[in-house]
Amino acid sequence: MPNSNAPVVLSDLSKSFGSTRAVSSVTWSPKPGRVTALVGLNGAGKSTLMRLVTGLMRPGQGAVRIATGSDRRPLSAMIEAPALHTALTVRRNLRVHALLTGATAAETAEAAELAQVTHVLDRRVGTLSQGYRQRTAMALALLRRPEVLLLDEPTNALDPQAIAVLRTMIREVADQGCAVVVSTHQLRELDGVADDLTLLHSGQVLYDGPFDAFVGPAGLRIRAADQAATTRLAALMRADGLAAEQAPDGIRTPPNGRGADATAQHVFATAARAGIELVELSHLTPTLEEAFHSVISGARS
Amino acid sequence: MIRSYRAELLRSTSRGTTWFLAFCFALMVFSMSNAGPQHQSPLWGFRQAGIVVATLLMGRAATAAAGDFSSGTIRAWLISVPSRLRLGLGKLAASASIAAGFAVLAGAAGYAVSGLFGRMPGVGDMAAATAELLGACVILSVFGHATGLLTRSVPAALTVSLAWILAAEHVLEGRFAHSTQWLPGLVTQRLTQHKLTVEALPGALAHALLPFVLLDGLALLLFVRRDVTS
Repeated sequence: MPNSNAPVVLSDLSKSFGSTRAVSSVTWSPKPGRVTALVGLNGAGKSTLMRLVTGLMRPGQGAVRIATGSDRRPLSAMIEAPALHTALTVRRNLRVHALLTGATAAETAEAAELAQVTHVLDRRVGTLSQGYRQRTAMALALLRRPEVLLLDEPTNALDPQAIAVLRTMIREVADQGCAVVVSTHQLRELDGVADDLTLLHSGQVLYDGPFDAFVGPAGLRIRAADQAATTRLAALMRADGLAAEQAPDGIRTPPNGRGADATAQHVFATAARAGIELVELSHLTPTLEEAFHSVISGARS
Repeated sequence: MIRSYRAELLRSTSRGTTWFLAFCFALMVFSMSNAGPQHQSPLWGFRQAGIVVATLLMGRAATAAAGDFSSGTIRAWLISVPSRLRLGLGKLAASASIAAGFAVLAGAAGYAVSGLFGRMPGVGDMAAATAELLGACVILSVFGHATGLLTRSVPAALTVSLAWILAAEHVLEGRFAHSTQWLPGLVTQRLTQHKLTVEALPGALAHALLPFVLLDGLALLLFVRRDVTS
């Protein structure tokens, strides 16, 4: 449930384009001081959701409530490719948006420093690399220390070093109290940066919670002393009602309603009765991509 | 709105805009220099160039309004200024101010160089010509801004605005009597050529400005309501 005191709250938000429901009854709010990864397949509604929140699009239904009254800017965003005036210098781009947002010279300098563009202020944006254009766009987005910052695919077309710089910047901004929402396809880039994850599929929120909890356990891997023993153990497990898939690296049993620890004890007991020596019994952790595809597949079915 | 106005003025102070305005002034100077061989005064040349320059500034306003959509910079502007109406009005005011500012500078500079091409006009005459140029530039800039905001595409905005001013109105002129008294582009042209009496001026300005102001009003209304997908 969204926090009604949050700076931005989406209530039952929907948007359709003709017969296509791009966003469907989304109720959600980004959490201050945390980085939320907004993930989903192409066409899931991530960009549409961001455009609805920023007011670039009008919702068909529902509302976006943006809290005002704070000294800080309530909402800022970087939607899609950096939208900069290429004929102007970085400094002038910043001044234009400082005028628009009411940012002071000190706040402008702070944003430039945070985005690490202070050494290119007098260069025309058109002469900058993609990475520096992205940083300049970030500096514009950071003016007046927004309470909520939306970043739509910020790592597109960036090299690994630029991505690393961006990740550090995102973390730093969140640590200053900003609710940062990052939409991306590159799930791995968010590992270690994101605190929460919101999964969109067909315009609906399928998951909204801690990033680590999304991944969750993926069952157990069991290996016996040799292949024959492993095969015998797998058959015994199936006879006991446990799902057991034999793989090159041993037996895999998916999560079930009993829990991992209870399942492990059951496997121990089964192996002990049959006189089978176990050399490995470990918890499996799926990759982020596996968890993602598992949830999407479940939603589709 | 003041912030949007100042930001748009600041955004417009680019080398490209400076060169463009210098080109417009060069056209005026050329026209003034071309007056002598035609046994006309530099003031006449200044006035002849007026509608051309006003049309160019119309194109500048159309490009400025539509260019933000083409380049995507409208996203950043709208995120920075949630009130679309204030943003649109600020940009319109800035376009009009740039056109007006150019007219004043062109008048002053034109007066200064007119002596090179013939008899210097009287200050009053030059001031009147400058005021007429200012009116024409502002009127057509309002139109250009409207087409830019409505079409959201630089090629479309330029096509529509130029086609109307350069072609459509002249076709209508040939078909309808008194069209020069109520078609806004033709009225503006008469204004720059000093063909309006003082008594006719208020009515003429209303005929010229009102349709474009209404069009801009419609453009702003749609700008406020339409989704931005750029």
